[in-house]
Amino acid sequence: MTEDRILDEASGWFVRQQDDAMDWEGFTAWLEADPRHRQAYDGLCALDSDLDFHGKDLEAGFSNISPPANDDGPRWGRWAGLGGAVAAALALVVVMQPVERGSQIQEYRSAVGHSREVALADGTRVALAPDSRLTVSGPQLALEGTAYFDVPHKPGRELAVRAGSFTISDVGTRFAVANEAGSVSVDVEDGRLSVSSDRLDRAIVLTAGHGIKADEQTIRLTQMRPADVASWRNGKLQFENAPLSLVVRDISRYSGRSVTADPAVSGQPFSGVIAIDNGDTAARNLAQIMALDARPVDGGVRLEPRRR
Amino acid sequence: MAETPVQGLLATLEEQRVALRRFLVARTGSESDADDLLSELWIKSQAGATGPIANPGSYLFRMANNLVLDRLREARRRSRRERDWTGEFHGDQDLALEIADTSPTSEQLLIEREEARHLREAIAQLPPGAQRVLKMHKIDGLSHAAVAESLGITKSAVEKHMAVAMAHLRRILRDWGND
Repeated sequence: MTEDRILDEASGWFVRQQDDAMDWEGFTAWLEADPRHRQAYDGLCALDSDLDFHGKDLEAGFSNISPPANDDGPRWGRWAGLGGAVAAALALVVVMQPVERGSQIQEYRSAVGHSREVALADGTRVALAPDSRLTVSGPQLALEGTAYFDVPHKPGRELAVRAGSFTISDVGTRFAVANEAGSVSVDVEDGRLSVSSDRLDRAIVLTAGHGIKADEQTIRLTQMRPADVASWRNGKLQFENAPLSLVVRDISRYSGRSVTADPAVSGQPFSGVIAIDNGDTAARNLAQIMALDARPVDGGVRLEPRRR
Repeated sequence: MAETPVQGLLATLEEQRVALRRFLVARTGSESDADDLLSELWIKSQAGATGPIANPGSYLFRMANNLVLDRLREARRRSRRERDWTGEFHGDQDLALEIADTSPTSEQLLIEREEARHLREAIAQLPPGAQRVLKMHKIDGLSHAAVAESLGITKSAVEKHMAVAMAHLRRILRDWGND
């Protein structure tokens, strides 16, 4: 999902480059946040250049034209000031369908700022965190992003959830899975499940209050209060030693409000719980805890070093 | 907001030099490229703008961004054989066969024709609104504002359609490229 999210953000920035209201400082900060951002933007420049190169040769492709709706509703209006970054993501949720997929495969996507409930035919209920994707092919589920699963116990159930290189199976339980930016975590709220992977010698069984967290280098077992599993469902985000850049990214994603961090402070670590709320309050609280300034900028809030 | 006289552009450049350089470093990923482009920007600013500029700061950033775009386009033209000159999705393969001759070979033409076909197929999959806006802007050459006026929609709706179109096309072409 991360690559998709980056591409959506990149096209939001790309289409606004000729706009007088373009937030160049915000664009700079976005580029600095992750080298993949520049690559995605370069990719769009290449596409743009190709479109110009072929020009009229492409006319035959435009077969599907009808007057576009002016769907610039209040939702979009709120986004319009963001440099379009998140706006594009929002818009794409509606239109992106996988290309050439078998008909029995169902795909569910959630928009930035919106979680989504999905009820599967076998009684499983899934809460998709904002900006996530769940693919369902019979009992095989694949997750990009973050989700909470409530799977009724049923003997002989074959349900398996794939997240990155990990597979969660033997489930009859409630649990959360996050597959984000190269790291995968599984947290069990209730019941038990087993986690397998090429990276593990054998499957690990996890019970309530236990979890596993893997990044590219390490895999470790974790513990948490079952009540804290998937706390985003109750409007709370938990962080443990996370860089501020990641914290503001999550706040933006969950609240739908653009919160950014000045590169001078984006590496500062944060541990704690933040109420997502409407994003602005979250940003202000975060600023207070970390002794930063929360400055309103075009369409959102930016956290900056505190001025004397 | 007061309009800035053309000679004010250089003063603005000096004022914003740090921010502009920082942008160029972030945009190119290279300090030396950024410094090159900053010099180029200075020369262009000295030559002056074609008309009064309402917001010289944002004008300079746009100019800087366009300089990077021009360089990328130039590189793209030089190596049309390479599917993706940024190399991000295919690894950083160097182009073994640099095309020195400017006249296209028959193989090149074939590749270009194939590329156009892919683009057409990808365009055909766009949602209608995005497709129409893309055509008016990229093929017919209308500005965002002109597209907005002609369709009776807002400029931000045009931007939204364009963002959908660009991300969608890029995603489709990228997926094909990976196959």
